[in-house]
Amino acid sequence: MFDCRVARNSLRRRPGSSLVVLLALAGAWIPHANADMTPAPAQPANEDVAILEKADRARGNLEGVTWTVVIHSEERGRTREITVAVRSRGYNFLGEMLSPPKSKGQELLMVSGTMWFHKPGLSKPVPISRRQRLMGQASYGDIAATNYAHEYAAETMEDDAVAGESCRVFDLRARNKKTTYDHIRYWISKSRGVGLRAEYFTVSGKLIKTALMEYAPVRDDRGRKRLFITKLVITDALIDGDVTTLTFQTPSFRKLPDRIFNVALFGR
Amino acid sequence: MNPRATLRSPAAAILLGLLLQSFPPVAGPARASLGEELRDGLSSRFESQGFVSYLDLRVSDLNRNNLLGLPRYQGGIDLRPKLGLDLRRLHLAVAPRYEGRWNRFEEGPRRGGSVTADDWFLNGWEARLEVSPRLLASLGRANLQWGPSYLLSPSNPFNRGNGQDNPRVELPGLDYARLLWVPSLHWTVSVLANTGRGRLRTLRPFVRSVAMKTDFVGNGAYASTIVSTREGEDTWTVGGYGGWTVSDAVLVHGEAALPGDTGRPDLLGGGVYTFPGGAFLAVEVYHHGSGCDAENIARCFNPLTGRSDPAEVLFRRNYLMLQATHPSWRGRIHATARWVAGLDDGSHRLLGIVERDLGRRARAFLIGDLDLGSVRDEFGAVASGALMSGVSWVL
Repeated sequence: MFDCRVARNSLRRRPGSSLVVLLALAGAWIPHANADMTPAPAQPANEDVAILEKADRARGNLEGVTWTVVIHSEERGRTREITVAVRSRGYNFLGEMLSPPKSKGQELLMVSGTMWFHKPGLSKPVPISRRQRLMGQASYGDIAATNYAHEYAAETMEDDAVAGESCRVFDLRARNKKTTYDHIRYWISKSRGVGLRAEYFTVSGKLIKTALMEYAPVRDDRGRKRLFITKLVITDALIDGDVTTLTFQTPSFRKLPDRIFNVALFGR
Repeated sequence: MNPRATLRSPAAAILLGLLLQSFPPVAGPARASLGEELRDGLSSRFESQGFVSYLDLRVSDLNRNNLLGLPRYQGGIDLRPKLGLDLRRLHLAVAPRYEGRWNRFEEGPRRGGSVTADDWFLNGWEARLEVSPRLLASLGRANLQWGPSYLLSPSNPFNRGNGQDNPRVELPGLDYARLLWVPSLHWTVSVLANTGRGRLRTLRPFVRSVAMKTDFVGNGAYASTIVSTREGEDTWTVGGYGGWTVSDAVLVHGEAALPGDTGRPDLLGGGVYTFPGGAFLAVEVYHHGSGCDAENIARCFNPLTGRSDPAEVLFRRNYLMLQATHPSWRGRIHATARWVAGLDDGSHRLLGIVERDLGRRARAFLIGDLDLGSVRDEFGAVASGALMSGVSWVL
């Protein structure tokens, strides 16, 4: 059962006029613009950063991971589902749409903070903004790794619990304008070191959506057991019933070469 | 899967065997059999479309008595499969095409007549070899496009047209050989040779050309330089483009080329603002250094009075473009509206593209443009408008 005092009042329905704000901030969770390779860029070492880095690694910040993401959205009573194959290294990723058939072959590439989109019929990849949305409440960045450790300044808040699991809570403020979210509140399990819950706020402090994460143990390329994200459930805080679920399937860990993330080969 | 079942030709089997011998499987905890590798490496996409179109032709000096042979009504069926195979260090792809056309003429020598025609051809193919993890070599036919620009790509020495006026009309593939060196995630160096005209049709004779392209990406920005020359010429064209992610909502870009023969630069600058819901507004200005300034556009193509090439995209000197796009309105409609202003002759083009999802496999599309100018202007000299509508379907 979800239990957290910090967010107690945050799921109340907001006035419809806040939709604009919701849309303004939907599309965040985008990786750091300046960080493109693992290991992550050097930052002042402290305990908070180390905790956030560990949580980021459980969400894809690795030397190479390939997975399939099924995105199911319930939006204003309409149900949709897409499947994306993702190859990710550090905060760079290449996503290729597998289904539905009409979208098969659409691709998204993010390298060093720049995103390109390509689909069959387009003569070339086009640069796109981070505000572009993938489907429902999911942005393109939701299928990539997070970089909260270096993209945000962290402030420790009072400890809390998510589903009975004791958590450290961080108040994260964006370090630069390139992050779509200005403000995130993030719950990290004390025992497992993974993010369990996140709340996303507008610049003015309004809650726009919440996310709950689930993890499962997997073996990496060296045979070590590690926790890796399996599910991300994003709930719209402004419109009752709008929920987007990302299911991360069959993660495979292997170092990915530079050419995978090369825009000259993208879409060809 | 039995690998022999996938190899029908003994010669192909021997060739493939030699290649695989040269490039063993990637080391890993569990090696797949050749059959599994072939199965896993195969990819395919089968798209078809049917359409009807209408062209509101004008009588002008540029197309007197419909010398260009343009039909007023057209119906068509296109089959556009694409097959690919990634096998170890080898990537193979092929894009055969079928086009069936019915044309109805209401102007010119064929007035009142209808013609049907069909064609099978290869608009694209590629054989790419990973010589080493950082070096790739390829041969093939493709529409090789780059850069962030919407109107056209002035830095592209091979084909400036990027087809964004009508995404349902496929651009012609040209023949290339390419060597790609990837020294790091941030840098790429390519040597490109345009060895044949492929499917490109121009009035001028084809001349082979070669280019060296250097790409950088990093820190939310990207930049490229292109140096090119044509066979038999001793001048070089220098071009480039770049873009910067200013914020989560704002992108800016620029593109330029300085042809060595004319010394008159082509300059393009633009920016994109993305609204919170995903819709975006793009603006571009373009200066074509060697654009035609004749009062009547027809004089630009007269060998005695002009040097414009019909294969080019825009023929005058200065343009302004505004475009509004919603990539997914209500989750099922893609809509684009574009306004292009010819600042020299005062003519305009309005363009609309709407695509609507029909279930999981199909899309309906409607594309229309309106040329607002006289018969002596760029936008208005051939037609005053066009409309295309149809359905595409993916297997």
